[in-house]
Amino acid sequence: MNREKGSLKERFQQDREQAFRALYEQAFPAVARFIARKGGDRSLAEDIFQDAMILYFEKVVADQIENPHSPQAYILGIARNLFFQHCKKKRPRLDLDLLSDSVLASSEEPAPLPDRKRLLDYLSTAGRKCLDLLQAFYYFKAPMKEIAEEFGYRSERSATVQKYKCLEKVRETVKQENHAAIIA
Amino acid sequence: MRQSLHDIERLEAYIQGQLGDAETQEVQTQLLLHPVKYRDMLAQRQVYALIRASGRRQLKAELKAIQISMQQDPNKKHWWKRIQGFFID
Repeated sequence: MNREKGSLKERFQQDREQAFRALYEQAFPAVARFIARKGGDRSLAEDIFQDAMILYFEKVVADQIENPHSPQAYILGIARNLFFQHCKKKRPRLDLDLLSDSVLASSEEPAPLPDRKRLLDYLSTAGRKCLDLLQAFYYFKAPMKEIAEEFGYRSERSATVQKYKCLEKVRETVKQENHAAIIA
Repeated sequence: MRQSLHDIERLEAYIQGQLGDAETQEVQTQLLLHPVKYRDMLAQRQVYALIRASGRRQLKAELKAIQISMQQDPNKKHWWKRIQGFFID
């Protein structure tokens, strides 16, 4: 069981696109059929399926899936929950920035930023390298050795120090944003 | 590594629940006594949420691109036709 889980995680880390393509082919038909039977259109099915894949990916790379034998069934389960949440909230589309883990398990969410989207847009340009480094470590769970090679650091230690420097830089930006929101 | 980075590292361990009981209590006391440190901790938690939102945004773009390329792939013609069939009244 663990070997299979490890292999899927490794596939995600080694060739994410290929791993997603295989999952798309296997799991999308069942999700599309489910959404169609519930009266949803193709565009909604694609949106919900992609969000379900994102949540599934997060669980796999964080070693949070106990039984990975049937990714299709697991993804369909997540998609069903997302669809029912969507119907309940009557949102025209899923808002990815608001998508939380609550669909799978309860988790304590930090206080939302006053304007997360604007801050994300800002960091995507002004702090791109830092954001990429932090994303590689915290979100994509890439090993520090690979991160050091990819970002051109001499050692894992140098990459680790840089990671904390980036965290400090982004944290300062967030603090300024919070401060500006209080003043306004 | 300078002290401020060590502090960030320690806060990270605290936020992720990786500290022992004694150290957790020590950090909590510091947070209660120093409002600046408390604000640092809150902002750091927001940064982790921001990184996750950014990662999700990137994955969503990758998945949309995969969807489009699979739709256009001649080898996936039957697969795609089957999916389209679900949405025909």
